Amino acid sequence: MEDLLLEIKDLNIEFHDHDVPERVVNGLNMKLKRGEILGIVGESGSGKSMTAMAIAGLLRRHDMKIGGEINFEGTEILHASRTEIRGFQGDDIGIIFQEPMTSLNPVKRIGWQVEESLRIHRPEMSKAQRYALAIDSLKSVELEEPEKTYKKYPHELSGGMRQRVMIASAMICEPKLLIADEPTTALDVTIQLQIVKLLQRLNREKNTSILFISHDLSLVKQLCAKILVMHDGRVVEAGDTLEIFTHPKEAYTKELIGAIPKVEKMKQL
Amino acid sequence: MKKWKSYPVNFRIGAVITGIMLLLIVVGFFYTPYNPTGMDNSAKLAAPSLRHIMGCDNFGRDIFSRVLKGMGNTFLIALATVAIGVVCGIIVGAFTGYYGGWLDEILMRVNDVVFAFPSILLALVFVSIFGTGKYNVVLALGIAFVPSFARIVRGEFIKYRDMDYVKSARLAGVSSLRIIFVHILPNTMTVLLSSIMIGFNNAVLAEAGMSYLGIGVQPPDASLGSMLSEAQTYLFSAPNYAVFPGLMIILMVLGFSLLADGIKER
Amino acid sequence: MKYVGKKLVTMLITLLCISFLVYFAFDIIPGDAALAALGTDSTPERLAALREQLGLNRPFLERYFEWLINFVRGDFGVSYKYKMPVADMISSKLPITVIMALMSFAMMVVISLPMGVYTAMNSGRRVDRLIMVVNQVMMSVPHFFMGIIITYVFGLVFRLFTPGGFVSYETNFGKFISYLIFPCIAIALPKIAMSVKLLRGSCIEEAQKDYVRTAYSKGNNTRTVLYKHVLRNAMIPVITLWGMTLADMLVGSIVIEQVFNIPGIGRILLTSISYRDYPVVEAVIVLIAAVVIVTNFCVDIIYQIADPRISVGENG
Repeated sequence: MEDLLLEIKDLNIEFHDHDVPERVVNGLNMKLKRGEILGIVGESGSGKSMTAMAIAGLLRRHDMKIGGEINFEGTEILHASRTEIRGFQGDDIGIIFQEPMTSLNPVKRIGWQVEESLRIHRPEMSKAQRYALAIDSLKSVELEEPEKTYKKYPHELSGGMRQRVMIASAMICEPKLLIADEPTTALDVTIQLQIVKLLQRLNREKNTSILFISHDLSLVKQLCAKILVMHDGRVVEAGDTLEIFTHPKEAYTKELIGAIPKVEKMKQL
Repeated sequence: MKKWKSYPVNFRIGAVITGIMLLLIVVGFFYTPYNPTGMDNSAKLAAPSLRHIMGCDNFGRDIFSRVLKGMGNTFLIALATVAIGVVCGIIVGAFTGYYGGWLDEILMRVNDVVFAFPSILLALVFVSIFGTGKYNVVLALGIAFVPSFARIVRGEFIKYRDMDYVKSARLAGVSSLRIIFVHILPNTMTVLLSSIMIGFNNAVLAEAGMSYLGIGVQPPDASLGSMLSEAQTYLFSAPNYAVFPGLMIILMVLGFSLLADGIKER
Repeated sequence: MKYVGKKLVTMLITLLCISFLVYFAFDIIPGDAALAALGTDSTPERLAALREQLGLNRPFLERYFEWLINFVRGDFGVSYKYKMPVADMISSKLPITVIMALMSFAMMVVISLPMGVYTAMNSGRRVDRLIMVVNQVMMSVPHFFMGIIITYVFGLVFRLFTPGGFVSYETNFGKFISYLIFPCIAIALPKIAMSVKLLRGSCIEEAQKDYVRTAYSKGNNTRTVLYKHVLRNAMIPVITLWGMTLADMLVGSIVIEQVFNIPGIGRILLTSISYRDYPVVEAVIVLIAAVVIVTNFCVDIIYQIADPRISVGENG
């Protein structure tokens, strides 16, 4: 299996910060190929964000119990040392979050933040090289006047622009995997669509695999070839998007599809 | 009433300390073991003993009795200071925050000017013009405290004045004064409460400082600050003279700041 | 730049207001300067003559502006008591107080910065809890009582310094500094406690924020996240506190000078008040207020550099 990028086997995540342990992810299995876009759908609390955090190496391990394995290009990263995981973070695995308003450091310039992964993972690069790459990256996420944006602070940008900056900084090292954890939820509908189109284009041009996590089925349907439906920490159903939308097997999936507003459905047809 | 145990530890310790302090103050108003200004030549600088539990000062006056009186003085001065600051602060803050406009602009500039002026310095100006004494100190500190309360109240009023319930009250024909004092003011109390406690502490510390400099409570009336100033001369021979008044200031301030922290945490 | 200009104008207006208020306050004192200067041996004739000489018969505003212009030029008037220019009396004492305040401030920054970060990183552990308890007590100790404790412990018991001793900076600068160390500790300790508490809380609060997660996701380690991301943000409220503290320390040293018997500007102020030597009182108060206001201005500027969101918030 040459083109297998990510494989998760029997992932379990259990919280221990309350009296009763709370299992948020329960026996999750999944595979992601190179260049593929996989959607994970489910309502809030279904464990999809926790899965994303586990892959990105962002779980706070001390107050939870973690089981299973996550293989990234053949390396197990779920139980790897912090140092080893840091080598992947920002370099091979990029992540963008739900809240573009708060996910950028308010007191640092945009350029500094976009270049940060380069400073960490490509220390040999000169300042000029980094600058050129940052401008390229800002251009590729369709930000107008990238040179001006480079010098701005986060509060001077709109939510949509900030999410583009987040994508630019996640993509600057050309990671093999981009995790997008509800990247459009906090944005206006028109901007949602733009971001989805942008992700699609980046996927085509750089052959980056994307893990797109959302509760918005209509967006997932547009972007992803394959989807995975989660409910209460378990995978309910997985497979080709078209297949699942036309012939949902599980009652929960049918319910989810039924919940899409009619107008949206008609637009899709 | 919630159960005692459910309050944070800080709050509980603070409540106990403040309780004891208040009890001592109240007792001190009605009863002191000795006359706080009565001198006993045979007991000059006496060490703590069963007769004089905190010892005696250089005039042979019972330190414990003087500490009780001094705490009462400090407490009343701090209370009066904070009262002036809060009442004026509420009036200034409420009107400027509610109405905005040029009144707000002017009063806030004045506020900034007073705020920039350190409170001890203001008190020194008052004292050099009107003479020493506790009433001048109360007035000066009170004025110095107005700006900080006014700012807090103003901020809260700006937050509330455009809320729907205020708008509907306005539409229903409720008078502005009633909206300010009945509809909005009670909502600012939670925020005000912890700053009142912090203000009280600052007042206690400032009063002690003034009396230490000899410009607050005048002798022979007792004050924790002036006792410390006298005690300094006899520091080597009678450290107890300095320790007890100082300890009482620390406990008063500590109790209140723990209470304030506890309120914020909840 | 617009922000700096606006703050500069505000500062100048505040300075003007305060100088006016102080001058006005001392002008309406019952019994004017001439009476105070002559004291008991005043006769109506001598009083009138002196009033004429001091220009007290001219209108108030005229006298104010003349005083203000002279003040800005460095001419603070003549002391009633010592009959010498106030500027000469103050100029040798002002450095003592200013150096004391600056030293205390430096002490606070140097100690509270690492301690705040350390307690934040170890929050909830035993070390942290111990430091927080000590902190809470320190905050409740008035600095002059701290001065008395230090005098007793280090001066009388351990004999590390001579209580009441002082060497002017003009005779021996090194000795002068060594005599200031203990007073400075007394001023700094309560402020150290305050800023450790604030910095600790601020660090812990910032560490919860979303941008910290972003920083980790790029491959930062805990150290770089702390120093490159969290600390800059956590410092913003601390800078405000430090600004107010510097002013506090300057005024606080008036009291501490009494505890340690240091002949600084506070001493002059207090003796002048008791002698009703108004030109001196006036000059010292306006001078201290001016230093405080200029400090506030500088803090505003530093604050704006530290937090880029400020300037925009001001305009819109």
